[in-house]
Amino acid sequence: MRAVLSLARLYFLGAMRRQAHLATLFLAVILLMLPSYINAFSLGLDAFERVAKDFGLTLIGYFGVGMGIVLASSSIPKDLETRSLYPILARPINRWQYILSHFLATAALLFLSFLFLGLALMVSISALTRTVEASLLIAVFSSYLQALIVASFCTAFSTVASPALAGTVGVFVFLIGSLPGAFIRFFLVEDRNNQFAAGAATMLKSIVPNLSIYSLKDPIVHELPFNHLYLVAITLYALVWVACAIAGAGIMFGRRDL
Amino acid sequence: MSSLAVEFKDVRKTYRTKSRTVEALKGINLRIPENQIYGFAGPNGAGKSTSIKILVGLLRPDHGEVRIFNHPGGSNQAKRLIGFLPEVTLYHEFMGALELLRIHADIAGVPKSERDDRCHAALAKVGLDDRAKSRLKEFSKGMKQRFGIAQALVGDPKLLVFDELTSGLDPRAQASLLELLVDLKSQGMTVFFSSHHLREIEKICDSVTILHNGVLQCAGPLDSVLEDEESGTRLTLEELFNKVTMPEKEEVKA
Amino acid sequence: MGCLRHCRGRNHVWKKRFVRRVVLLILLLSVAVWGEPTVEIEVLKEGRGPQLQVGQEAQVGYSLTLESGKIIDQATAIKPFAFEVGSNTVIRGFSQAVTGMKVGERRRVVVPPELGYGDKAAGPIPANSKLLFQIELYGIGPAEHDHDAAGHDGHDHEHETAGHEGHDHEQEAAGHEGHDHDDETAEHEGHDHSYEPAGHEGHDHSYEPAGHEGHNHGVDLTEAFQDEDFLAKRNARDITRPAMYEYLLREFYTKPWRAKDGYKKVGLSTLHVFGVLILLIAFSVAATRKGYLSK
Repeated sequence: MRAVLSLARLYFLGAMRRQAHLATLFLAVILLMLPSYINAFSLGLDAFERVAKDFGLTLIGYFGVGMGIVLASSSIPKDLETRSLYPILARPINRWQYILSHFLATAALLFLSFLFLGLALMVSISALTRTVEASLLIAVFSSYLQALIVASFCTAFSTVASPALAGTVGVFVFLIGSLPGAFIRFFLVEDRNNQFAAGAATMLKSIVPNLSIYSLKDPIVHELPFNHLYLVAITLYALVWVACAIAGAGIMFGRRDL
Repeated sequence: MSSLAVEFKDVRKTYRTKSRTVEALKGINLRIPENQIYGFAGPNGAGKSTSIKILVGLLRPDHGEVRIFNHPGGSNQAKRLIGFLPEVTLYHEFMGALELLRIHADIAGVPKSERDDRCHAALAKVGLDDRAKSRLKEFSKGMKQRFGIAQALVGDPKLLVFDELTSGLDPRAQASLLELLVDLKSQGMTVFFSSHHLREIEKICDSVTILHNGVLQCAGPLDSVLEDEESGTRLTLEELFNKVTMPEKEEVKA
Repeated sequence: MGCLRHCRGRNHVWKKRFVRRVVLLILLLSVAVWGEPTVEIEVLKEGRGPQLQVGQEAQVGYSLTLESGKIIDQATAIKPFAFEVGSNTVIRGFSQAVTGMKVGERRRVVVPPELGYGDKAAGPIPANSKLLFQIELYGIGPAEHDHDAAGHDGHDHEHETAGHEGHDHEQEAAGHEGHDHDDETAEHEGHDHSYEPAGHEGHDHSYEPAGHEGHNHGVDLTEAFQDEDFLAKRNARDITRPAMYEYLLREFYTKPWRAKDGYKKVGLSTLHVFGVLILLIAFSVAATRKGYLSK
């Protein structure tokens, strides 16, 4: 385990050095300026606050997943390309441990980014409401879990595919996974009576993690109550899917000739 | 038999690409005794890199068996006993020397208590202990190679495997590295290294083998290999090499 | 000399004047005729029921906006607006707008200020403003039942009086009120939809007028209809895209975090995936031993 953490530290420092996190800084600045985009009086001040929160959380959600995809898809291929993985794999370390190290590095960098963005959003909203809304961080954390799952899939596929292809898989997982069941039932079945598409979508949805459980934007923005055990449940769900992705990656990578 | 560092038994490996199928290794039988410096020569594309990768466990052979100090090749026990330095050394150059070495030590399974001592000892052995805190990108090529050796040593291996250790180095750096290898052998290590510089193999190796077209053309102690039965004279390694390696029909990029 | 030229000249002038006057008269008349303010009607959706006659009581839903886009007023299917056609309880333009509508029909109507509130400001409506309506006729005659939120009935009386067959009721039969999983994977939302695609005939379900609200496809929306804040949000939406609202309504109310035991559903899915994980690990351990996989 120390081997994994040590190696993860190496990849983390490498990723930091590639300055992927500057993009986060850029978005954080945009978030901080949030209140100035919307004319408060055309909406009503109460609505304005909600819209600002909604907008900010949505931005963080999408951006975070995007960043996760980019980081995760390129981490292992970079190592392969520079051949710096040869001396590492010649060590008494298993392939899944190697993959896990890369993933942990990505997860750490993502965590820092989400945290930073969450704080930026909090500051921005506080400027409006004059209070500190810590509940925003819950929604941000939920988005983080979602991004982790997608990133784990990207990492897995990057062991056998190019970064672009791995990224595409990640996007696909994200889109299908976030599709709410209601959407399938309503629009595909009811509105357009398209059984085939509905069946296909449902099948796809069952092999892909259910990401629609991670949109906690609504309860946080509208201050609706929800069970806190729910947070525990979704965290465990994320962990188990990540573990599956890593295990699958270990199998795929184990078959590969270097 | 148990004093064999490395044993290859009828090892075969074929690469299948979209365009064609290439037999890289066509049944290699190799025995390397402990505590020797073993030279590995061969033209480009002969299958040297493939053999080395199989040796350190990066590739699985299609057929045959590999044993490292009697452990199965590719297993973690075997890997623990090997220190490997590949041909192209693109380290994570932004890291500091000691910093990176510590990470390697962790991966190699060095216990935390011994880690720092081992790292400093390894750097001292290769003569880099005064540059422990420097970034790797400040190192010259020779220094980078020496760092590579330190990295191979940090796990306390019994077998050292080097692929083209001295390529691109000036003669003085070359010489000092060769001295280092001899020194390591005197401390009980087994060294296996591949090279294009036949003269250096001739200088320090106890045994040698030449690989050509996926087949071992000759293998054994240096002296006996260089004895030419026909003329009864002793060839230089270069002459032997030329004799044994007829023009290749195909090159394999491992 | 005299009269010949003179007389012809004057005749010419007379003719010109006459023609000019006639033309002017025609123009004036046309202006008078065309200038008569009327409502502009655009039929968005055809109705199938009986036609509305003057003097009948109409149950409508409508939205009123100004040209600027500002929404003034709305009435939707939950509490339709009832009025007698032709009476002066509504502005003239409104009566004209619904003339000839069939039950189920939806229209977009522009009412000029002359048929609206004229040159006096009325509340949020400025003087001399055109009124933009969207109107849908739910039914004719007094409302058969009070649509009370809790007791939604699955029957649509309005449709029955209109002579409509209950083609929207096929799903009724299944009696799926309490029915849960149509979706096997527990990974889905906390509430269970009993949507049965098989029974769907492909009829237009996108708009369900008044009494049909209760047809909730097995999703318990009781809570939704009692939530005033939610209703306000729902009513505030434009009534041109009812399909979207039904969907949004359902989606909002069936989110996994809503249900008190939502976390249990997620937990169950976690266990499923965990099982898959164990299988993967077992497979990779076995395959590594056999040499299929590199360590």
